[in-house]
Amino acid sequence: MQNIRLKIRRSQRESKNESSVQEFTVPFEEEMTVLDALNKIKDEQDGTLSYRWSCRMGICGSCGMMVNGRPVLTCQTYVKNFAHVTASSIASAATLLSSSPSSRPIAEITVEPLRHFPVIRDLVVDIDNPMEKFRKVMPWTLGTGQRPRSEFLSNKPRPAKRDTILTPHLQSPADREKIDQTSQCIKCMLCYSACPVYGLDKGFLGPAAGALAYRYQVDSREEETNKKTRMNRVTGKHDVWDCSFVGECSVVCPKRVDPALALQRLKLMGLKHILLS
Amino acid sequence: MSPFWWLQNIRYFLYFLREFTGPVIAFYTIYFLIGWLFDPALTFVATKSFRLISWITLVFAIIHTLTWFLVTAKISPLPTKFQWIIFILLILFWVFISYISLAFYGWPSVTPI
Repeated sequence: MQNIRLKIRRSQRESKNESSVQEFTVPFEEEMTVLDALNKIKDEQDGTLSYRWSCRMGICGSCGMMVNGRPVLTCQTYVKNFAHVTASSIASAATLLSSSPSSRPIAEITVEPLRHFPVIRDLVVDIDNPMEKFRKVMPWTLGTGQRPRSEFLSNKPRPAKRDTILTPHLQSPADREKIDQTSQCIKCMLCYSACPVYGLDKGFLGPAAGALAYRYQVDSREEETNKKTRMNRVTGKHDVWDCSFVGECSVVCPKRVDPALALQRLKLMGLKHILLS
Repeated sequence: MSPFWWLQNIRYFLYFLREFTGPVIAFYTIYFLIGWLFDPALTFVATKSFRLISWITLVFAIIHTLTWFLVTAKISPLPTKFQWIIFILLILFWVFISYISLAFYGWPSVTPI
């Protein structure tokens, strides 16, 4: 039977950044993903292993981790893609040489928590910082026709019985296409993990928040007042300006959102906003 | 974060190289200006060391130009599959301006305007 070896970095928040690597051996299956391997370890070997996962199909964004130094969704990363023996240390090489061919793992996979985030436990990281940035960019539209403007601006509570007919705000296919790509973001945080600017400065708006801000800025249903408020929020001292177009965020994005492009376009919009305001 | 983060993969390295071309060009400019200050006749430009520095800086300047042309094409409003058109147009414009500049200064193999 063929096996794979997983080297998992484990730690606890209480242990003050001390971590250790624990090795597990799992029987290999042809269509096994890294997430499947983690589930197998948790079910059969060590129930204390902690990690996030949910949909298993690359749509929820929960299972982002560093696999062999690269931020990926573990449910979309197949073990067979790593099917070559890698001896990362003398100890590993000695183990491999001393073991029989049939017992040698066909793959060695290193699994670590996402880079640039505080670790809560094992592979679970604290993503509060980027979540705050998502809230900051106002990810909603104040669409015309949905609510009378005067009612919104006066901050009055909605009346129990509406006497205003709400008209739908129609969007053309061309308008829809403008927000298609950036709407695909699943908030998996792989882009934040790949971004060296965010790694150095947690005040940076970041790729996903930038893409989210851009998505709502170009939405045809968005009110001008909301657009101006949002631009004021993303053109602060650090915010969008810290992006130096490394581009790695777009490379690792599992949904091809291209946050790097969104950030550059947001910068141009920000510049126009500053010059005209 | 490790100070050698830019060695983790080729894309980080290319980004670092792109950014590093700026200081190299700046160093060359300062070197030239200081040389001009102490040698107004610019005799130092004929020295082998200056020519070597010039060729090295030229390589970095070309890398700087090409990488920023790529970035410019990427942020253009054209769909991704047509962004190469912007890149080619920028290179052609660059070649044209270079030709005009050389012709203006009477480069031997270029017909003066």
